[in-house]
Amino acid sequence: MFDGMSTPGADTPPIEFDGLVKRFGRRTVLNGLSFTVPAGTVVGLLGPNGAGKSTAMRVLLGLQRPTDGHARILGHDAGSPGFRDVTRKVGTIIESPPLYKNASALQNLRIRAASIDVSMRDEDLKEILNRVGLAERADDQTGSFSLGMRQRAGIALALVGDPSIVVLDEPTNGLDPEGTVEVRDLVRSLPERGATTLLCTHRLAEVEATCDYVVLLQGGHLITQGSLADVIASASKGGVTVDVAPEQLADALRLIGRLGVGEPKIEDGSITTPMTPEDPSVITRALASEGIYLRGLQTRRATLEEAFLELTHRAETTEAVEA
Amino acid sequence: MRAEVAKVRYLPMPRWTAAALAAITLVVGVVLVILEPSDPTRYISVPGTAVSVSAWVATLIFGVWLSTLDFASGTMQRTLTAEPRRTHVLSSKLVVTLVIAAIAGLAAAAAAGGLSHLAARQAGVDLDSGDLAATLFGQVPEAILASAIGFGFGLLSRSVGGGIALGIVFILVFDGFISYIPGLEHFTYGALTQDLSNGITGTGETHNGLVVALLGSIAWCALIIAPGWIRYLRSDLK
Repeated sequence: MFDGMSTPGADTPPIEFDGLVKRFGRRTVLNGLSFTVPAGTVVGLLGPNGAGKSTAMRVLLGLQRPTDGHARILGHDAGSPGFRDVTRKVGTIIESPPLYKNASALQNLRIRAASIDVSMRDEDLKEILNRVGLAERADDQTGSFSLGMRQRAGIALALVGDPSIVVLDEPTNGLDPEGTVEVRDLVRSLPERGATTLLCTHRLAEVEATCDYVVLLQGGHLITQGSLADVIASASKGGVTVDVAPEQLADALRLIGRLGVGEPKIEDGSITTPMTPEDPSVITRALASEGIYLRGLQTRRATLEEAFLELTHRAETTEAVEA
Repeated sequence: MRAEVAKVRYLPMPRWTAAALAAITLVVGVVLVILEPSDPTRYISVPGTAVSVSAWVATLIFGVWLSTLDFASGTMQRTLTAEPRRTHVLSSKLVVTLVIAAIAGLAAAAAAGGLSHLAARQAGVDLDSGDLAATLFGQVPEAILASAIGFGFGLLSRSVGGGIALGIVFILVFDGFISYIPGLEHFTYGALTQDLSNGITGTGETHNGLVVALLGSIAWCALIIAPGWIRYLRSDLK
């Protein structure tokens, strides 16, 4: 769970994984996965290939059956009474856009509307296509679409019926930079329309730009979860760059090495540390107490990519040690 | 049910199959008009054979198509998120398959009958309308059952090609083998559906009563549909 987070007006989380286990034969793909997606947020589900992201989504939507544990949408497990009613409030793309290639984009949306028992006029469906930039291709067969256009059509499908939960797996696959920004803006706007979004992607820049919270999986385990800033901060990457007078460099290096910020190094005449102290002023004070004149101190914030690599590497190492 | 009806309505394959069926019916009618055979039985047997074969093939293909559509197009996720109760998904598909096959069979029989009647009148041949209607509409049950057979094999193979191939092999080869088993020769799928058609129209020779023929035909269809149905309900789907 995301500590300290509240879901106003809703006791039941839109999406909840509770000790979910999924095995294919002897291979365990999900191993006790537990996390909750708070209402009205965009949550990024991250993990290396084979981490179990798509399987988690498939189990959530009832396409695959859990070996153990629960995956719930609005409090309902797949197969439980009422699950049908809640899945109709969910728009999804898992892996590839589920389009009938011999039908036009508009016909695909009409079929989707009929499937979820929603009566929508063509004008409303065209408005959805307009939101994803496909209004002018509404009557063209989706089989003639480029990968990016199919992706947009898939997102349009997911938006039919104004879903309260949107599950998107790699929604910007195949999109050009302009299309990526458009889809990113679209995803970012979903909470304003009251939709909770679970976004599964390998594009970490996309997560940084769109997600409020991040869930990181590896080997079917949850590695970490929390707000974007917390997850980045939980990785040991980052660090500080310290500038001192050249004749005091060696003394400063020795001193900083004792401050618990990792092994400092001299790079381009500056001292760099692999970690950032909780309070960077400890460096300032330590140097001042030894009479070392501080010319400059810069803290470097780790990127999500660095945090991702660090956290997944750390998890791998832990698993190897345990094994 | 609405979802499956919408698929039939908006996707091109059913339209093309219906168009092919209509074209064959029309061609047979036109051939009769042009050739003007003097033998009245020709106005019954020729359209009867045409409707029988074309409706059988068309409905078999349609049954395979509807049961394999989500597998072939990668749209299982949208079908099952709209209706996660898998039994309902399959029931809807099967009902739509049978209803469409019935409509297609009736329409083809009616069109072929109309054209045949027209051709006979133009040729000045006196035609027994009762015989013509019995022959043509007698094919409808077989068309409906063929769609169920296609549905079953499609569900089992999860591919259009595989479903059609299995359907054809079953009807043309496997059914023939069964007829060589002593005591079963009158209970093959072909024998039972023939008895069903003959029983309904009151024509031809029958070995089983109408009820036995009906139940036997349904039993064959159930036997073919069951494995794929159970697999669909139990397995993980993508």
